[in-house]
Amino acid sequence: MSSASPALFRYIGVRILQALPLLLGVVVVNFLLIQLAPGDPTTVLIGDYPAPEEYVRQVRAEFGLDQPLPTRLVNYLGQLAQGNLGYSFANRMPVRELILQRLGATILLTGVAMALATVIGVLAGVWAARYRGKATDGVVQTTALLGYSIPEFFLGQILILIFAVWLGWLPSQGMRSARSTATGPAATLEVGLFLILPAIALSMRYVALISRLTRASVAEALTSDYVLGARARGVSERRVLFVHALRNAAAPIVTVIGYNLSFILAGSALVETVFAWPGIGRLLFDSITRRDYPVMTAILLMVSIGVVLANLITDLIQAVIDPRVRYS
Amino acid sequence: MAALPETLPGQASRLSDAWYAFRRNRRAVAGLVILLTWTVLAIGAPLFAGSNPYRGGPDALLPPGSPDHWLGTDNLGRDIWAELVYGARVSLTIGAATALVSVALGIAVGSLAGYFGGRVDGVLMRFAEFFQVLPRFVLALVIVALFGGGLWKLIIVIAVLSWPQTARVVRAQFLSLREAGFVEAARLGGMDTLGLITREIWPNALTPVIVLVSLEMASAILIEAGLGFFGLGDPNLVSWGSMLNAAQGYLRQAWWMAVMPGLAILSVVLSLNVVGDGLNDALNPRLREAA
Amino acid sequence: MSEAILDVQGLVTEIRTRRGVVRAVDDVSLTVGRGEIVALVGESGSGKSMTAYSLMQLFPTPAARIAAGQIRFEGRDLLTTPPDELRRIRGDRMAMIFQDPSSFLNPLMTVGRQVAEPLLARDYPRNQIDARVHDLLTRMGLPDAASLARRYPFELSGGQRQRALIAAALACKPTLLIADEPTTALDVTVQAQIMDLLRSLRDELGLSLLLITHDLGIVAQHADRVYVMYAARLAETATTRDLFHDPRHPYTRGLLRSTLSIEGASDELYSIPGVVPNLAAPPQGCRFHPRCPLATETCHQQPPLAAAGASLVACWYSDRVA
Ligand SMILES: Nc1ncnc2c1ncn2[C@@H]1O[C@H](COP(=O)(O)OP(=O)(O)O)[C@@H](O)[C@H]1O
Ligand SMILES: [Mg+2]
Repeated sequence: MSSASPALFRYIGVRILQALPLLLGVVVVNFLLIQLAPGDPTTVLIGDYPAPEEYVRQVRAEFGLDQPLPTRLVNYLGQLAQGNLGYSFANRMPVRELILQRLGATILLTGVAMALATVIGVLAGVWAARYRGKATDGVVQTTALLGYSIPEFFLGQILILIFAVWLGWLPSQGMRSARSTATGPAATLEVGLFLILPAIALSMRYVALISRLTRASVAEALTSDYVLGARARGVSERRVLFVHALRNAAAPIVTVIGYNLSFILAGSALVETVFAWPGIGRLLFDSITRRDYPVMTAILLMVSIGVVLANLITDLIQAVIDPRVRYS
Repeated sequence: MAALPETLPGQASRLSDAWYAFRRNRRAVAGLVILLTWTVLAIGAPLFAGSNPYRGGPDALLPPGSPDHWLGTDNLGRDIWAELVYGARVSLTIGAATALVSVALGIAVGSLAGYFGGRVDGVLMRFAEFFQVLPRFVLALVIVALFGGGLWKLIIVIAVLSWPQTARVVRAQFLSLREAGFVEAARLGGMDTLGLITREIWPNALTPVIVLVSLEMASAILIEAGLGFFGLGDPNLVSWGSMLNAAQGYLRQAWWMAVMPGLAILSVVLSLNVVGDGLNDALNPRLREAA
Repeated sequence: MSEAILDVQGLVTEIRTRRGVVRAVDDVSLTVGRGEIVALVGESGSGKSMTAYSLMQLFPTPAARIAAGQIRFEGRDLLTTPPDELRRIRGDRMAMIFQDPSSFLNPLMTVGRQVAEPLLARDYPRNQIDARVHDLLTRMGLPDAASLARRYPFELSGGQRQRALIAAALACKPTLLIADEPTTALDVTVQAQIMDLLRSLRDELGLSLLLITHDLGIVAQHADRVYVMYAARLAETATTRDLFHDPRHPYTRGLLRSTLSIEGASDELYSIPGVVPNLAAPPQGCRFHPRCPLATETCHQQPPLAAAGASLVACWYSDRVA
């Protein structure tokens, strides 16, 4: 619908240029953490494991650990550029492979949770705005306040207690059952069952945030002149709500998801730990308990880069939703 | 000729108006009462706990309602109520101290950026943007895992990762007040920069920051709980997060080990959020009228 | 006067505010004939917009409601018409355009889609909607309609936006168009173009126009009849010719005089002394009396709207004004 204008391309270019220093910045932070941690940086790069002498020497050479700090930074950037994230002795696997192996589960969990949060949050928010000040509104608002205040991992534990321990309706540990031999659609269905509880736990905070935001934007739109204008044209109430008013809420909703990626991933780490979901978050937990430093710092690096990119993409989506942004 | 200073309603009367509005908000008042109750319990922990939360006993995994342990005991036979009361010390200290440090940092940076504008503003705000993209929780996890935990380290780490929001709010306030008549008048009257910032602008700029204190506190308590749950809290102190960490292994046998500290966190965070909302409404008369 | 398609009797509209109930429209009666251009004039805050919103039964604030009166439109009683049918009447039989064309267009939706909305709401054949939108925009004097329809409101000029809003309002060929200060927010040259457009639409389509304005120049040029509103009430009504030649209300006279002094520069700038009353606490009786040179004790009673000369006038001393 929106015309791809030169203004849009110029805006995209400027935003990408602005993101580059941030990207470099987060990489440098990660580098400094590794270098400044108490003890030998080699330990941080290898982990608290007895590594073969030969590997220790290789790491020292790759990262130039006997050189001054700036040289080390250049070496570090070089290693990253080659995709070298180190080797995890705890898992007996290169860190990059380990992360790629776990990435799918995290994307599945966070993606489903955010989709769930958006659908439920938008519907609840529109509903509350439509019946502003009435009982419905109060119920939605109070629920949102609760959802916003409860820690994800505690909600996860409660869900496990109710739906897995007491009622026995849903599985709660892992992504598939240990003895499962299901394939094809049956396997998908099985993963779906395992996904229900963690997805709910992770989504609750964003259901709350999105419903509050939607309510505020839709309520504001409902008192705007352009909604009055639309009504004067005989536009139906449903169209007024879901086309005119909701469009006003689209930008804030995209922002809340895009700009909160770091909190979503933090929540995911906690929820994955509660549900033994084999994703990045669980990997982070395991790496902390096993002092598997290269994995830990690699995840931090990935998350940091992910956040910068998510912010960038969010801004670009904004420019598509609201054509005025391109000219700002 | 100098313009006459604009007269703003006195800070004192505005705050008393706000307090009046706040008091009529039943939810916010209930939240405040819950917070005060926890504060009293935390301060007087040795009085209220009834037993030592660090010493286990023979009676492990007793359910709530047991004769000597009304909230039950954990896997090491420690009294859950005593742990909760002592844990409140950690959560509230971290929450309050972090909020104060991060808000103070935010006020300092925001004031400088907003007052001087131009280059200073540009640099400081890029800096703030950078801190805002750092993934707070994961970074705190890694820092504590690499550098070691401890109450004060946690406070500093969380605070240093949390100040940009306050800085942005304060900066925006400064930008709108910098050219105000009463500031201009004081400047022409020969007041120095420090005086202008602290005596003229701050009293009129910092009301929105009051709301941020409660929100930062809530967020710091949640981060601490998450770190504790990951086993990275202060190893020498019992905290609500570390209680939940222990509970994870006993979810099927002892639900109360999870539910009690979880409800404690929920009650404090929920209270902080309703108090924050209440303050926001009370300090923003414009919104109050629109409602 | 031809047959009335709009006939309003004793309309009262109230707004609940924190300082009590404000009567923004107080006992207003008016008619609009088929193909007629009727002006509603008055200073800012006199209740013109509220009158228009009452006719549409759409208010910018939920605190407003119609408290009394009758609105007959094309022979049916609108105040007893169920909401669903009202919605079908709005935009289809009766349409409205507004003072500030920018704020009445959704900034996040293309112009074409907004012009198409009344058609979408009425099962207009889908495949013909685009063609109809382009045709409408072209007829509103907007060249290159196809590309314009794909643009967003902020990419248009004020005059273009008002033309687009008129296109949307007329998409379903309504019989009555309520135009609330349609040119106030526009440049002078654009003002004249928009007025010419509205007028040609009347001539071509037989559209009736209720034209709300505070610009007496526009009234003199375009209106067939005039209602003068002061502080939520009607002060005077007459044909345009009679009103300008023989104003019978002291307020009308003051209004004319202040306009003429601006345009003709005949005598020194004239403005009516005093200020428009606050509708939350209006003066007793005739609302104009605190500012009226002729006021006496009698004026503490509300005068009825009665014949004087060729006008209907709400003034105890209408015979003296001539
Ligand atoms: N949103 C509102 N809230 C409270 N009072 C209003 C509102 N809008 C209009 N009014 C009252 O209604 C009166 C008439 O307003 P309006 O119809 O907009 O006047 P006009 O269009 O003639 O300038 C105003 O003087 C004001 O007292
Ligand atoms: Mg008006």
